[in-house]
Amino acid sequence: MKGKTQTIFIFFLLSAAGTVFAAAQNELLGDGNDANRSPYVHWMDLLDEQGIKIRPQDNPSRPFSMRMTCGQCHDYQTISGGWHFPGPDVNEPPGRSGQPWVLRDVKTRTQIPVSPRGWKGTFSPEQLGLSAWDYLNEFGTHLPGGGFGEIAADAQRPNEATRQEISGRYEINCLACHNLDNRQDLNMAALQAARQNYRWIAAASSGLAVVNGTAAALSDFFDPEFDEGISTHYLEGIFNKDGQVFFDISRKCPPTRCYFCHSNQNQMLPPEQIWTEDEDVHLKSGLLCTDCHRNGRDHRISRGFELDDPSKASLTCQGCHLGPSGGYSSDAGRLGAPKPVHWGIPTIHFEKLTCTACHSSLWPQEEIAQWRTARMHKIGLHGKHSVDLQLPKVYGPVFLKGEDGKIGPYRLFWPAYWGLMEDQKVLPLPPAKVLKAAGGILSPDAEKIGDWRALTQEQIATVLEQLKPLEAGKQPVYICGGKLYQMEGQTLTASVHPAAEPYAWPIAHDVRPAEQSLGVLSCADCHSTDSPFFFAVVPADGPVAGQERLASMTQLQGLSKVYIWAFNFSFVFRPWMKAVCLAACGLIGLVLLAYAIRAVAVLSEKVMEES
Amino acid sequence: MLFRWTSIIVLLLLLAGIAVHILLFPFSASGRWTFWEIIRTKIHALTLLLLEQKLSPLGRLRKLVLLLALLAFAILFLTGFGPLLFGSRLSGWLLMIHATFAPILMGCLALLAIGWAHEMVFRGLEDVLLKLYFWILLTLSLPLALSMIVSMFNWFGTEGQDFLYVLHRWCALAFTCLALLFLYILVRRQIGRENRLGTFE
Repeated sequence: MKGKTQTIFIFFLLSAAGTVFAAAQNELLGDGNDANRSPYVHWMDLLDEQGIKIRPQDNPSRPFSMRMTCGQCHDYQTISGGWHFPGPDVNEPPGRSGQPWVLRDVKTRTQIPVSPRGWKGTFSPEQLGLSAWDYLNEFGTHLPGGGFGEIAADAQRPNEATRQEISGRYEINCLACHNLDNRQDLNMAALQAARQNYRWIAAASSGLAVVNGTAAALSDFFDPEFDEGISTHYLEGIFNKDGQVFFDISRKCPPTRCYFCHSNQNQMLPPEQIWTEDEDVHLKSGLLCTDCHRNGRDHRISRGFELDDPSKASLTCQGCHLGPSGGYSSDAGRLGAPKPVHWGIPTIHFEKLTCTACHSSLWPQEEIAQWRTARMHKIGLHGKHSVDLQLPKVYGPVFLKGEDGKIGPYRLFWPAYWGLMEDQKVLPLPPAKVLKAAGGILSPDAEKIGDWRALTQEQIATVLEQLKPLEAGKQPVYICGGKLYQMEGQTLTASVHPAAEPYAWPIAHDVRPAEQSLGVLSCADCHSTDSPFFFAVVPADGPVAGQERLASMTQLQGLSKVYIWAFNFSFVFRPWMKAVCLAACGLIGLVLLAYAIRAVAVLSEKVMEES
Repeated sequence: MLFRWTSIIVLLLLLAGIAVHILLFPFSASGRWTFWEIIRTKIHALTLLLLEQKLSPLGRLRKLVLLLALLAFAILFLTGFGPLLFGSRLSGWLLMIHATFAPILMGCLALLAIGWAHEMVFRGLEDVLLKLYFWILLTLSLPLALSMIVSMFNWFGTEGQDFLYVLHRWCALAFTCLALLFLYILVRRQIGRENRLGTFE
């Protein structure tokens, strides 16, 4: 019996040791953490996509591969599960809605929110018939690689397979964020993406190499062995005698890198006055984006929203300023975050509003600002490939109720697309399909830059008739400006429909200092009968002339306009109420005092009499 | 949650206690419970709401203030504790009604304090409970009102606001219980007094 127990014990020990050993085997050199805060100095062997070391004397030179070069020491597979590198097979919960990509087409007057994350109101690339290759070409300028960029082309689309063979895969460009070298050029990365030079993006944008050539311009029959294609020239002197190259790598990404994809342009501000804008108060206080938006090896960056990941609750507004429990605990004031006192703010506000409602984005204005964002409007591209996209018209801050039931600032735009409706559910039609069916009906009469090309109701009716044969039993519809257009018999009708609702995503930055937060002047900052917070209107823009709709903030918040107006109006009488109550309390106090004094006098008399 | 259940239990116990007391110590003219006595007593109690002919203008004003205070109290009671029954908190239209009648009640209480204080001075053992409740009610009305009024100024931060809100709720519960007891004793005293004087007969 004793021998048997010993055998089991030894077997158990060996199993445990084996597990630990296997785990240690999976961990690469750069994945461990010995807690030394001094950063590792990255003198690296550059490896190409075959894993072959690149040497200065190589002719022709090959672009280095991030998967191979960084993957020598870091677990590339784990990193590729990060939020920045989504692919089509995301099995994660969608989390809080974020800014989508927008599939746009000028001719068909289309702007569709796209996201592989499954956010409500967006459509997946698959739903829109976009292959990974299409996705990459459409949005690649502002993608950091990975995900769709590394998916093998669909065998059903041989043309894409051929093009991918020439362009290569767009691996995660680790340097885009982690290379502190000032020559790191995301504009160059975008240019290479626009040229479909995916294999060369990391090298070309790193500042270590010059890449010439355009993959998109090469013939399908291009043969790298014989044809002159794309050349890579490493700068002189970057290799040391061992053939290694120095990368100025930091775990923390500087904000200027984040800005390339996360910048927003307030179009109400004339370009010549852009210098008057303030940055986020946190950045001005010396923090980096990555101080709050942190991540582990998995690169699932904290999004600053506790419901997304409770384990990162301390990296939210409340987490830093009040502590995760929110009760002025000892873990409040992280990184020196001041503990807010909120003088005179009734606590109901913290149940009904997000922190950002009062502290973020612009002070609410009667006229809602219009924005361009880096990813939607491709801002940040310079030189020959710069574009001046104006659509979709993005509005903000719009105060809406979020998934957590709290009102906060959002940006939104109104989707526009042709689609097929079945059981009140609308699925967009790919623009190419619409254009094919519609023939010349949608051809613009005149070029119009920076705004919608007008669409008449007759054009809509005709196109809807043309789309009818596409799928039997499904109703062709056109969605734009918050309305759904469909044919009822021979008549074109427009109605409000859930599918036509705007797509909105919460905004958190730029954060204003407490001195500039809503409510700092008085309750009337929001609680007045004409406050923009409740009564500003959002234009529901679209291409259909004469169909402009205005949606009020209260309507979008799901509140009764009459109630909010009455509630805000009651604040006019608040000073009177205070005066009446204080006067009443004063009188009652005087009566109590007078009779208390009298009682003391009587008591004193009694004592005197008794004694 | 604690406040909700405490309020419900305390108010139910109080109302049940008053009902039991009425059953055990009927305050009809004959001192017995018969069908006609119950009807008479109820009608009698309702007539207390009317303005008596014999009252002087000031007496009428005093009575009107009391009636207005009763109306405001009833509305504040319903709007304040009503939502608690359904597990929600005071908000929306109810909050607006509540905030509208609160200063009315406070104004009435101030006038009642001036008008009744002399009568409510302790003289021997007569109506001790009634008088005691009167003075406690007046005292309670101060934190009850001030807890909300002060919260409307920029004098307290979040913790202070939380405290004031909690204070207001518990003061309101105590005030409500005492006000109900005070009114019950007042009605009993009035009916008893009129029965003794034979004014109602």
